Amino acid sequence: MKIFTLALLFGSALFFLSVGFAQSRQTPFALTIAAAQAEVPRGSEAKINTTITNLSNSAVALEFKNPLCDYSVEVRDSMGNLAPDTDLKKSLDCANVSGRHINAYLQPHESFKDAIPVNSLNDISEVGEYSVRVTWKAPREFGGMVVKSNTTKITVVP
Amino acid sequence: MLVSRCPLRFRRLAPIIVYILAASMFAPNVHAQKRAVGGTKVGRIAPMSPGGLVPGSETLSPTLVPEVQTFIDAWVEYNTSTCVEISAGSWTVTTAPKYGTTATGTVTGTLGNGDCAGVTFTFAAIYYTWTSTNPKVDTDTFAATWTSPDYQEMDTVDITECGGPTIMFNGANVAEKTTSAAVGQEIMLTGQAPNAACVSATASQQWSMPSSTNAVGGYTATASPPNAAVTPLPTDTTSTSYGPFYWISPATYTMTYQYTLTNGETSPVSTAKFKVGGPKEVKVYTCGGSVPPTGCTNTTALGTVVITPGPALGFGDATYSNTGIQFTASATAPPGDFSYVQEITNDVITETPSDGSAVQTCYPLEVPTPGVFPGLDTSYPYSTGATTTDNPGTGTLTNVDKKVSRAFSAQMYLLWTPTAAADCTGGASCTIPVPLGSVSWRFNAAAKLTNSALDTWTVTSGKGSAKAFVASNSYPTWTSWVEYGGMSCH
Repeated sequence: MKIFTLALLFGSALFFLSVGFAQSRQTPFALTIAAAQAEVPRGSEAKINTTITNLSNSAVALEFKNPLCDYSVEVRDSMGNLAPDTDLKKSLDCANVSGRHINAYLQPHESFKDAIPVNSLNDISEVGEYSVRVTWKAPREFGGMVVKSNTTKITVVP
Repeated sequence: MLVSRCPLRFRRLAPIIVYILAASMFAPNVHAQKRAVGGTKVGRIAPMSPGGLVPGSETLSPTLVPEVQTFIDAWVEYNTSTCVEISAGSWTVTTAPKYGTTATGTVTGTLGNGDCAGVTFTFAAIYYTWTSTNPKVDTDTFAATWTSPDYQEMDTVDITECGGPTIMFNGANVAEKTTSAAVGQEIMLTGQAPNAACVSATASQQWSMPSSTNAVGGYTATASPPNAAVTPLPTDTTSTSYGPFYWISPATYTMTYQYTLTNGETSPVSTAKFKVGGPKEVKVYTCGGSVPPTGCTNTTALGTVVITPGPALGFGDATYSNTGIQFTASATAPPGDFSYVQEITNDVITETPSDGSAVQTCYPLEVPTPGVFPGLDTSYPYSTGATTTDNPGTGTLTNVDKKVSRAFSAQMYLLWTPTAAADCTGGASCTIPVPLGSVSWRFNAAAKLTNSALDTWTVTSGKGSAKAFVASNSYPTWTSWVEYGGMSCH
């Protein structure tokens, strides 16, 4: 019984420590997204504008290459089903991206804005409402944490 | 007999009653005839085209433009049996107008009542000219009497002046004013005659068109599908509204609007002046290598070609000690934001396999066809803000190859978008980016495998250069998207 009580106390202490540790490791970045156009005709570009903001009190240097690879995009239809990946997404070789390579220097509370053509990643050719959420992985030197965006909606119209 | 049954008094009055009834049938409501004579009649002139009042109108309420003599009315007395003209008559102004002048004369034409078809008569005509420049009045009235040997017609004429039209922009009349605007700001103009009577009498209207060298109808740019094009200026210059369009160069511009009444008279031209602000003294510095993170302060040499971790062949390594190229824009500008758009004008990687097989020519993946340039680089826009960088690097180098080289060139466009007005409800169409100019730059790089076992590579040559910023209001356009999601080799 003593051993059980001790184990319980130890386990509880570990739990609260872990919670406290997790809370103290809040990401220094915020990611917000917004649809460039809330309604897009079928077959047109459905673009999501992203904004990564440096929430810390010191300047940070970040690198941005290809938005198709820099961000993870989750698109769901009105039934909650994941929109299928496009052929372009399936063929992406993100380890060998050779184009745009920006080193962005963000002062405290400054932002880097980017744009993701969601329709090039996910098949949203069906008319209807889609919800989009984006995640971005902070660089290793900032803990490598995944920063989640808000959810935004895009309506594909005929 | 019916007559015999009538009272004597009625019999005496009967011709007079018949005369009155007959006269009332022919006389217009607002006109009084002095007397009618058997075989004679008066008639108004038939419609004169173009212009002129429509005869038969019993209420003389013409709408007319200022400083133009406008026909009001014309009568003639003629013999109904022979169609011989008895008299053109003459006019006397009984109540003079306050804001204009009258004039009389003769005019030839046919009868408006259909009598004597094909016979031309000389009518006495009266005209009115609005002469007042008082902007607070737009109505006038006068009375005149036409007299012939046997008849008299009295006209009361209510004039509505159709002066300079209004030009509405963002809910305000900007006609004859100078209004501030910004390049890239949506311009939608609506013209209208100054009062309801003139609006209903408007037959057509005419807008001036902005010059296509400093205005566009819009700009659409997408990566997927790849398409960027300028929307031409609206060509409909004859509707109530003109637009939307956007000026793309700061200057003072004028737009004019004019309408034409159903009588053919054209209104004065209203002019709206727009003082269009935008970025001035635009500069773009390029620098590389060790650069200030906050941006170039002058144009200097670019970064160096290096082997980056991977290993990969990079133009710069995306650090502030060896940035490939950094662009920093500055200008004197109203509230707004810079953005960059880059077009790839050439990008080819040549790989020489270690096993001696054929040299591979590789192009970055591109929609629709790899290797067809120019194409949009990666995303639209490339980035936002006054400063951006590029450090293009290859994919991972492996010992499959013994030599790799890359030839890269691009054109970086600087654009500027004004801050949309808080009350603009047009969403994305409230503003568009306007081009300010571009920088052409390039680099060549080559490396060789020096240790196959360790996959160690060494740069054998490489250099980058940038031309000076060239100011221009030409938009970047494309139908290809270099999406850089991999390579296509053959």
